[in-house]
Amino acid sequence: MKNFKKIALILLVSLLVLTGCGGGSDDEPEVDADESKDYSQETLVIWSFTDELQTAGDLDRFEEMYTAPGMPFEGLQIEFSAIPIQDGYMDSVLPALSAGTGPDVFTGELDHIKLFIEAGYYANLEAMMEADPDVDVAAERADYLEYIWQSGVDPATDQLAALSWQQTPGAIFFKVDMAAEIWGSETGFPEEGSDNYNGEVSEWVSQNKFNTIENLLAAQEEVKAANAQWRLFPDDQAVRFFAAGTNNPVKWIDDDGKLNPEKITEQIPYIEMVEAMYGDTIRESLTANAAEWSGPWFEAMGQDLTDAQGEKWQVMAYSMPTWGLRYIIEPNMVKVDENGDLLPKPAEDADQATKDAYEEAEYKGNWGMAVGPNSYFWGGTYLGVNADTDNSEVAYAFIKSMLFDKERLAERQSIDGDMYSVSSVMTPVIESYEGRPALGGMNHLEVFNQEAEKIDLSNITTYDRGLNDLLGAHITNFKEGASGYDSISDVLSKFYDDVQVTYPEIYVEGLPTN
Amino acid sequence: MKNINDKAGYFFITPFFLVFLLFNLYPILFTIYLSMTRYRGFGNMVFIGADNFKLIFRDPNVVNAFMNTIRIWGVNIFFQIFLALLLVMVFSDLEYKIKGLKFFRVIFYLPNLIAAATIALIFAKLLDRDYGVVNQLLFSVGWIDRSIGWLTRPLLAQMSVSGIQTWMWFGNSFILFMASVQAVNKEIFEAARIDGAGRLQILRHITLPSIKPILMYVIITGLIGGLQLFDIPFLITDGRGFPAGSLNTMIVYIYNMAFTYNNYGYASALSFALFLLIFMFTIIFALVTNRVEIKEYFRDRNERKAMNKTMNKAMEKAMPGGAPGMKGSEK
Amino acid sequence: MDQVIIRKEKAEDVESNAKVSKWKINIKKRKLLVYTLIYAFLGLLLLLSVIPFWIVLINSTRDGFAISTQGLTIRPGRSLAENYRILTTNANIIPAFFNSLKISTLVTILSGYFSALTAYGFHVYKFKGKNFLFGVILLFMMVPSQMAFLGYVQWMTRLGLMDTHTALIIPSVAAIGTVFFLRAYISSSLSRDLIESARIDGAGELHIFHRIALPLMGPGVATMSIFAFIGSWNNYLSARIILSSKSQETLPMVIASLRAMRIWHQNQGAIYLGFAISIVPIVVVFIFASKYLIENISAGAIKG
Repeated sequence: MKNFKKIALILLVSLLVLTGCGGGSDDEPEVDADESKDYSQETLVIWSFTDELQTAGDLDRFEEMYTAPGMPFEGLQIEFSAIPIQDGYMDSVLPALSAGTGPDVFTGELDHIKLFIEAGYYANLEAMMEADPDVDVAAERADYLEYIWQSGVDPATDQLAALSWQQTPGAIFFKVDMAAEIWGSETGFPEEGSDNYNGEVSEWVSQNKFNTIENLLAAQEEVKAANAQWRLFPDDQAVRFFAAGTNNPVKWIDDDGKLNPEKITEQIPYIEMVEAMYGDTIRESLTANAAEWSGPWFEAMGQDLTDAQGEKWQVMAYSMPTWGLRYIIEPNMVKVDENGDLLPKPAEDADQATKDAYEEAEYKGNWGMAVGPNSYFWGGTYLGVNADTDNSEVAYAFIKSMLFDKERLAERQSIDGDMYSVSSVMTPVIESYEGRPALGGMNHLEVFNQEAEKIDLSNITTYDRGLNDLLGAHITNFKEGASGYDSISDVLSKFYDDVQVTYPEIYVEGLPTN
Repeated sequence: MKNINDKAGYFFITPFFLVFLLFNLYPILFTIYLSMTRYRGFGNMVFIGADNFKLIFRDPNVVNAFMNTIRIWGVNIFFQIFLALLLVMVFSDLEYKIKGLKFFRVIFYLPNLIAAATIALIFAKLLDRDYGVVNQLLFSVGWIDRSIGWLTRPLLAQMSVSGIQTWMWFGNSFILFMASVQAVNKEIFEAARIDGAGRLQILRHITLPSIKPILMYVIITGLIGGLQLFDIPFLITDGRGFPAGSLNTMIVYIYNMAFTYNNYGYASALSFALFLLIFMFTIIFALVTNRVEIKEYFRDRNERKAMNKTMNKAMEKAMPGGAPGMKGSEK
Repeated sequence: MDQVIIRKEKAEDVESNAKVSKWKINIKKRKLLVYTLIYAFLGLLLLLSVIPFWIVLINSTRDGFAISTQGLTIRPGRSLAENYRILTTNANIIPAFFNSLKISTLVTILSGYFSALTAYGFHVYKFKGKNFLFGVILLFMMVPSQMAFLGYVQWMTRLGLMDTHTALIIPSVAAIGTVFFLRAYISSSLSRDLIESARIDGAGELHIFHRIALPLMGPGVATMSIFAFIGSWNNYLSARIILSSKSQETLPMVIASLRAMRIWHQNQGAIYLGFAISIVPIVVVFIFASKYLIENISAGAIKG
């Protein structure tokens, strides 16, 4: 009887530990909860331009650690909104912030946060970290990549205002099978059979075909010449990251705060390439005319495209950053059996043999990951706390649960396989990495890591997106042969006209037109 | 006694004027103030006087946006009126009694009901150059051997938008024209026919004069609506008025200036310029319409009444509910 | 085609002296031909008017693969339920539907009621400044509604009304166009004697408005209200500017966001289903109210 009671007690206790505390009871986070607040009446509002915080479980994790029964912010509600940038994330968040009704925590891409910081919308994160005995600011600073940390520093206070757990270097994902058919006979092209075949091909392509703007253009012509129905890229958006063509790009805005003439001349080879790529029909074009994010653009990752005329096209490569592999390309890849026939994804209730066969089957096209003429980054989610929030302790706790809990970050990384900006998380991962199955087992993290080291974020300004956008519109007109666009100097002078009215404060006379 | 009752009039119009002042007039004045500042959507508004207005004269996009509108409107209004008139002739013919007027009125009005946002996306999908349904159909019947860039060739893109506009509005014009014709005494038509007038003569001397006021109204509101076109060009392209800026209408331009490039001051100045332009057109058309009307049909009426009439219609079209100061005009 | 008819008509005059029997056959043949041509023309326009609806409805029941490989079909597919599942998991379409319904209904009621109130006030009473105030309304009818949207955003920001439905609903209290229309309408449908006799019976002013004037203005109010509903239901620009959080979104915003959605690839049928959800209710409402509505549009065209 006594024994039975004992066992029952042990069972009960272990059950409580398992369900209630989730094993985290030994290192309960330090929380600066406000005793005067009834947290069940409060709401933490979080806005982001992706739904990642929700889908990756960050919100659940925060609820479990802070708002569940018995936790410091018991009963607190979380309201999360994901507004894609193309649906007007900035149009929504900026007016809300200037009205003082903005979210408690909000995210931004790099150029967004530069704007938020300049406008004073982010609270001083570093001061909050210093007030928290759990967090050692100097250690965190050493653990985070220098350039990621620096990009979130407010120049006015020289202290951290926003920080990202990610780094988002980009690459060119391509189909190795097509590359082998096109360039397989050229000298130095790797032999099939080696364990790291995809990695070797990727490196060869990076060094011989994608390494300069000129070669990138030539490569597109070679793909088309090898097979009239093949195209290297879905659309010329894929080359916009290589507009600079160098790892030391010039700043858009010079030290006097004016438009930098050198930036213009830097872009000329790129403009010429885009013009050469354009064709009114796919037959004439060097791309498949499948615009980024359009249906065909997604479709071409896995299958042949069928155009309005009934012709079939194959796309070989996509420029995508770290997140693009996991969220965009991999979900759209398809698998094939030994005969090259499409293998449908087994249903949930399929037998184990079918599932295993699918698991072991090869990806159609056999993907690899190369790099272009210059390193680039795309996206990246920075987090910060609203300077106006009434719930800064809660907002900070959320940031802390995401950024400074390294165990959690490591666990998160093991699930999404992304590149994180925290060396204590990434170093062991890269060392022990066994390769990405979708890339034929290639160690793509290593490549991303090398790319990331070459990225310089110090030259990003709040004008970059707008200026790239304005110039891009004129390049589009030029490539399509719009009237009045006969030469690059037309593109440039029309671009200056736009700058003059859109950003009069940075306009100067006498900018170069060729 | 009467005076006390009449004071109640203030009570009846107070809610309207309260909301009008706060949500209609004040935003307009605020926009005018904004147009004289430099403001990036955050931080301080810096007062810079007329600088933004000076920039308008140096901005080639303004002239382009205006010319785009004129082209889109011109083609649209021609076909819209042509189709509506043809339908009026069909349904008002004395010899051939065409049945189903009520049925066809409903059907032809249907395209006018759909949100322009939805229409834009449907047509963007149908008219896609390389992967769209329309080209697919044309290829399959063998009418083309080269993809047509419905939305990628500047002029064609404008014509496509004109076509969509015509599709949306011809039924509306038809209903308005038909009502005007039906208001004319049938005996006049009969008498003309007995006198040996042909169909074209009846069209010229009876039908057209009877719909002339409403015709003017359709033309004016079409132009004013065209200057405010947003949803379709914004959503059918990528929000920047591609190709070659051919779908860059004033409102699309203003929207991007404010929300993409964060130049609220200049965007407000552009809004004000657009207002002046529309105001000018309204006045010109009101004057023109009135002169013709006075001369030909309203000899017995006084000028003031005719003026009211034009304004009355202009407003009916310009303000069919929604949030004043804000709502998306489709026409 | 008109010229064909006219030419034939002239031919008829020449022939009119010919034998009666032959003439009868000719006219029969000719009439048949003209009728065929006219109905073919009407049929073509009918097809053009409804074909996009048809494509949307059919494709909303087909799966993405069928749409991109088989092109257009006449027969519906079997993926409606699947499309619905994909659509609702990827887009907030059902909450947005109810948001739109809520906003449009309130806009309709407010603009109908307050416009009637204002029009009545202007019509029935003679108070100081009446002509001036009405002149102000007249003037602002010419101000394009979209001119003020930047000022509106800044002002709503200061009032703390950004991202609220209120900012889209309240302005409908001052629907200038509706007031103008109803004031014209009221003068033909309401006699002052009626009001005077009600006053003599001791009815209060507001009571008279509610019990006597409003029912008499009913058809006019209803017409403008339905247009207010359609306008509000379809409104994209101001909703996009004012609203931001997912929970507040209206239907056109969700529809517009489908453009950039990953389900394009997964299943375009789901996108078409989204279009269908935004179109079908309004078309159904219209078809039921159409007879009545078109009469009123027509009446408006004549009375002006």
